Amino acid sequence: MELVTAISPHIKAAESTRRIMFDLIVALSPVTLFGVSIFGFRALLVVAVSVAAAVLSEALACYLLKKPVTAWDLSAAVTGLILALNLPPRIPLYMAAVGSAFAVIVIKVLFGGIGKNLLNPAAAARVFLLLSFGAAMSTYYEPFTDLVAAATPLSGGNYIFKELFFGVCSGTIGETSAVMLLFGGAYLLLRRVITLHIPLSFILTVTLISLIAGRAPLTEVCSGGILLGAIFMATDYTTSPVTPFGQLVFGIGCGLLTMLFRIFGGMPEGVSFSIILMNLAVPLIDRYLPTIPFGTMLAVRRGDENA
Amino acid sequence: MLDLLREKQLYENWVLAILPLIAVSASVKTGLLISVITVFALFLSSLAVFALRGLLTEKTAPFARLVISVGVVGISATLLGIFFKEDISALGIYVNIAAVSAVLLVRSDFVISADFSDLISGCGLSAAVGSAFLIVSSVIREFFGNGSLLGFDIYSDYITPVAFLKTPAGGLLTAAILLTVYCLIIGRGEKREEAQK
Repeated sequence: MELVTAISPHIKAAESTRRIMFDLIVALSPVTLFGVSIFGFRALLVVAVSVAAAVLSEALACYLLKKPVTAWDLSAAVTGLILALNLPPRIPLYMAAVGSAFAVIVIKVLFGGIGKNLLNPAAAARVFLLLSFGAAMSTYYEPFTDLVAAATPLSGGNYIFKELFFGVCSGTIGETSAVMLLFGGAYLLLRRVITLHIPLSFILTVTLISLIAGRAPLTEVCSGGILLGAIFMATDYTTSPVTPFGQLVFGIGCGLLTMLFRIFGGMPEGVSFSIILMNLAVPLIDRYLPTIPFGTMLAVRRGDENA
Repeated sequence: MLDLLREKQLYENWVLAILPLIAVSASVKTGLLISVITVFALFLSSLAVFALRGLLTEKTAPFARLVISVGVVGISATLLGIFFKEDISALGIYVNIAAVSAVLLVRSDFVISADFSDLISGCGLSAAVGSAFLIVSSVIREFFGNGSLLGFDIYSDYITPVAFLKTPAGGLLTAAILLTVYCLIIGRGEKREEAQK
């Protein structure tokens, strides 16, 4: 009998990066299609350019840095897609390309590639674009028209809940339709790509603070990028805590910071800023809320001197 | 060249020295001016401490260099401010960072212990590499961040420049990219040397 020895892991799940990324793309498809249908062909161009720029940037960066080219595992495509959904529908295409290149090259590849980045690439790229091209990033359009929106759900807009829930309002390509985002989130939950800890804690924190601040909680949750951020950006494996309790803390932190930015901040939206700030806190969260080895309890908790 | 860089242990110091200067120089003119001021302060403070090396120790030499650098920076900024008033006033109090950078560009223990020719070559190399980095980064920042070069508008009427690069964070990002390129070049040089051996 031939005995084979090998180091762990000895049992592997069927998941792979490519499969998880494919699930994410499927989950983002409804909201992407909806965004394209209400904002027109120009929105589709933004999505296409963003995805293409992300994939090409990763391939080029890996080639130049003599690393294995991981552009075909779909992670760059997902980054490009999520970034595109965070952009206004008529943003100049070169800005979308610059944002994607920044997300992939600076935030991801230069830090070591997938699994080693410190910040969520799409959120960081959105912040970069906001600081670099403020005017273009703040110009929104009314759905089904070419008219610049005089107001958005977060600044001066008077939208009813139905319009926000179904997404017939101005905003970025992917943040308008709450129902499509929820469909995508449900798909990811069913496929066990994400768990409820981060999205639920994020949304419940936003709801609670809205109630305290005297704002309409449903309107607050359905406007801006909260659902997009909570479901697709904050749940990134690399930049979120490992433990369930840590994830709850992370989600609460994101929700708290988002509402602080919305209520007291100079800009109407704060989701991306809150996500990248909490990304920076993740090593701290993982350090002070560590995993408990199976079958043991922390000595400190029990008060035992012998661990 | 690689041996000189390794021997003089310049790398650790001039990264610390140059980063604050990169953060405050968002245009080529500002980069050139602060580079000139820093190099001037570097040479004068190093030569003065070298001349006084009999009276100074390794612990007191950095302070002496700092005091001399601050004085030199103040005088240089005032003199240059006569010709480049707007650029120097744009720098404001941040021009004093040049004094600290001048001290950091070359190690004080090296200044005290080296002979004259080594001192000049070390200061020269630090000044050259540091200034090159500073000027290249300010060119990048002004071209991509403002759409201009040396104050002349190039493309900002047609394409919106990347305003992020004008901020100090953008300067540090530019520095990070330049340092990556620098490390790649040094790394390839070392590999070539090993291959030749």
